[in-house]
Amino acid sequence: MKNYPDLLRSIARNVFAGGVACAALAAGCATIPESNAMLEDARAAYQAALNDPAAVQAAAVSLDRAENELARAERLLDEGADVELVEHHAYLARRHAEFARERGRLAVAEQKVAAADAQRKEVLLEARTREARSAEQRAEARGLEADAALATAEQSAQQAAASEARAEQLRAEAEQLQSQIRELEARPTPRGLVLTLGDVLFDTAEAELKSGAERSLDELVTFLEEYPERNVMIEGFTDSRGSEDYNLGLSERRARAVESALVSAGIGRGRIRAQGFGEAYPVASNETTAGQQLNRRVEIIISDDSGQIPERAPEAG
Amino acid sequence: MKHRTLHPLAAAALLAIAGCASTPPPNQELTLARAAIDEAVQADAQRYAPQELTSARQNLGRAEAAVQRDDNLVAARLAEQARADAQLAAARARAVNAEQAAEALAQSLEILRQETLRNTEQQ
Repeated sequence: MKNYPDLLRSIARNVFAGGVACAALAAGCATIPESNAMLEDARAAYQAALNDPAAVQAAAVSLDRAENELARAERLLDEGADVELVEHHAYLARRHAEFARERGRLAVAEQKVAAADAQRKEVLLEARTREARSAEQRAEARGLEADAALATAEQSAQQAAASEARAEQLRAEAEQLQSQIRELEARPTPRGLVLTLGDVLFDTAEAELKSGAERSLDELVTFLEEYPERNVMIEGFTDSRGSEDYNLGLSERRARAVESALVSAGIGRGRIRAQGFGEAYPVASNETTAGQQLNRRVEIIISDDSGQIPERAPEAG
Repeated sequence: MKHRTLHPLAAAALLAIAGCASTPPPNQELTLARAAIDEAVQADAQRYAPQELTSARQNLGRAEAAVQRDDNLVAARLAEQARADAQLAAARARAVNAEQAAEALAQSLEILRQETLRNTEQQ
């Protein structure tokens, strides 16, 4: 019994010594860190969890537990407690820290799952919006096509109107030509318009145009001035009285006289040809005086727009 | 005076030593550990967190062995560790599972996006 307090004192001393040793170790801590591999692992795991925002947000309680276990392990280590006990708390600290990180992962994944539904709706909405927009664009394209078609139609109508106006103009011009031709008293033939000047313009057997005969050519001059693309062929004819040579020469001279009159009036010489045919190509019988008078003539053939005048076909028979 | 005053630390140490001898088996800790392992298995930890599940089972086995040799203090620690292992295993399995689900959803979302784009382009 007497030994008992001694024993207690001894224990107390030992414990005190342990405390001193602990203090010495703690002092050592300041310079040389405590070395325990499991505690190091626990510290690293806890630090990693603290640096993981998802873990901090999702598992604050587990992190607190990890912190408490870690603190306990470190305190026990400082106090020089049983290594197994230190490692037990270090192990729990690490497990709680790891658990916190898994909770963070889970929360992030669950947020993604939750967001996926919203994203799915968004995708479908986008698709519908795109469809609507493309339908709108198609409608717009059709509208533009219709506008273009309308514009084309309008253009065509304008062109048609212009064509019609042009046709109208041509018709008017043709009518004017016709009326002018009528005024010339020319008659249409396969070779062109033929204007016949009777022998009244010339004295008998003379090739000089009578004074005032130029006036009879005025309308022809006016016509040729207005239609510069048209050329003329002047052909002289006589009746069958007199010698053939004489008649040929006379008809030639008379044709030249008309040519000179036209040139004097300002018609280019290049547009005029003149030729005498004598008593050839009679238009009436030379047996009668009236027929002879009709045969004595100068014919002026007016070309078409091309300026060409076909040669007179050889006299039949 | 010195005789009468017992150092508080000494008293604590005495109590601890006395307690050691008569610590009952950590039945509650063992039950909790087993339940945690069952839960981890339910969460498919065998597939997604096999290492942690194995640790849990090994620690539980060691705890049971410690109970057999009346080392109940160690048994309690090991049971606690087994429970922490099992809880981690379950959490990891759930996290991996959820990540895979999120990945699958992201893929199906991408397919849906491409399909709707293609449909719009075809029109």
